[in-house]
Amino acid sequence: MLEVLARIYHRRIRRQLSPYLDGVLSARDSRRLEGHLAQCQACRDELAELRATVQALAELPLAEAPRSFALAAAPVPTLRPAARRMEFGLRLATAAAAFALAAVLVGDFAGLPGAGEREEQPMAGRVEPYAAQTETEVVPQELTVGPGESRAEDKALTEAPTPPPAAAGAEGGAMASPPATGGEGAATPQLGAVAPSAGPETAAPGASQAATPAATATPATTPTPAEMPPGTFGLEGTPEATAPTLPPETPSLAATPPPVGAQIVPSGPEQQLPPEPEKQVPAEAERETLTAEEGGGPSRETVVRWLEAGLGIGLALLFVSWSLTRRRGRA
Amino acid sequence: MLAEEPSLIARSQRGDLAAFNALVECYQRQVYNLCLRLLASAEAAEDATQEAFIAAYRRIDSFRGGSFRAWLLRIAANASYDELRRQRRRPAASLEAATAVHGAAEVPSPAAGPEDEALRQELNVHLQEGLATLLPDQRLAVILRDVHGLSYEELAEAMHCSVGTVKSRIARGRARMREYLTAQRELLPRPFRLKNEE
Repeated sequence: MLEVLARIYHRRIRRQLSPYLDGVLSARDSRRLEGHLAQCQACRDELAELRATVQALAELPLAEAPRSFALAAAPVPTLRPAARRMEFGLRLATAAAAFALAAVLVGDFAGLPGAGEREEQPMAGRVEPYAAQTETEVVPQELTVGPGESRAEDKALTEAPTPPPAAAGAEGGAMASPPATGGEGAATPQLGAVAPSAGPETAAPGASQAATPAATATPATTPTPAEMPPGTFGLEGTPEATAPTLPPETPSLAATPPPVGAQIVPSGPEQQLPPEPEKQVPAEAERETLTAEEGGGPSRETVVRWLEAGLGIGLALLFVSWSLTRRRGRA
Repeated sequence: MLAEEPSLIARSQRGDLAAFNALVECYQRQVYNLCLRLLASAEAAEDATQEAFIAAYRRIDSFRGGSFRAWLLRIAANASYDELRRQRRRPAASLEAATAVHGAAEVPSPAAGPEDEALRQELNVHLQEGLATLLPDQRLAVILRDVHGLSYEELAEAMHCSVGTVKSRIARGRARMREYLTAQRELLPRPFRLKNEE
């Protein structure tokens, strides 16, 4: 028991050795400490060691400054926030670029084989209205000029082929042979033979000089204005609407047998064919030309959709990171 | 302390760079040595010293009287801790600092024979190693008190604590240093051993 008390007392005394060395111990505590030191060898030893330690530390030489640390120019206090702002701007730009790239890549991969079946439906849907538009463009012009007029037909020809990509061959023919299109019924059967050849975009322009232009347009377009009032035509843009009107019409022309007429049509606008299987064939051909034009990738709509989604996600993430950095900056 | 120190501080607070540089010239040795003791690397100490003076110039408005030396050494200690943190992020640099311990302690003392000089260097190395074993607060207190000779009041100012806390930190730090050095007694140079044996 006494030993424990002595140990506690010793510990208290030893804690006072350091301030005693520095002369910051109160006079009363100093006197008590000195009284103890006179009796206790261990504490005297410890004080001596402590003094030697302090002395050794005090004798540690101070190194010379390796150079002058005087400031050459006043440091600008606003430098840091500016740098931080710049850093944030760079980060934002990097993130935006990364998200745009990711969006483009995802969009690209979505168009590769595998997602192909999905893409087919909207494609066919897109092609039909497109072709219908070309038809509507052709007919009104003929209405104003009157059927059988070579000029109007020429115009119709040049205009009609241009939108679809397959037109390249047909257009060349149209340009070459305006005089041949006299508007005669006799020309049409020949055309029927040539027109399919014009369908594929490889058709040589020189080969079908006389035949092609007249063939593609005359049988298909001339009948429709005669049958349909101008008002109804504007309303009916769909191919299904125009198609039924044709079959009754074609016989009235007499010059061209119906099957031939039907075959001519696909080369230009494909809608006039009432039967289903025949309608599918031109749609496919048209799609092929379209995809060939776009380099086999997905439709523009899907690419745009992917880009929009990617940018939306990117902006959302940027906003989140921005608010986080702002909160951290406040803390 | 310079006689014109208060006016130099006042001019520095008004943005007078020349006045501030006069203070830098006056205290750069102490600041550099504190950084050297805390970092044990001459290169890191140089960086920390420069950072400390830049920070001091920026914050000179916040100095509201008292001991300018204590205020400055406090900034230097913080700059050293920042430097230590930076080193920890780059492990290669800390290795370099560890090997530089001896270099940092090798400060030649004037008017000493070659033998004394060698013993002195050895003791310095042991002291530096002993300081490295202390807790950061104890180490700073012991260095500021025993190496730089700051008063307890100045220490309380520099460490933002009470004089009682300063006393306790110094006492514990010294006690640890004593334990470390006595444990190394056989390795210690003769002067230190002789003093202990008195």
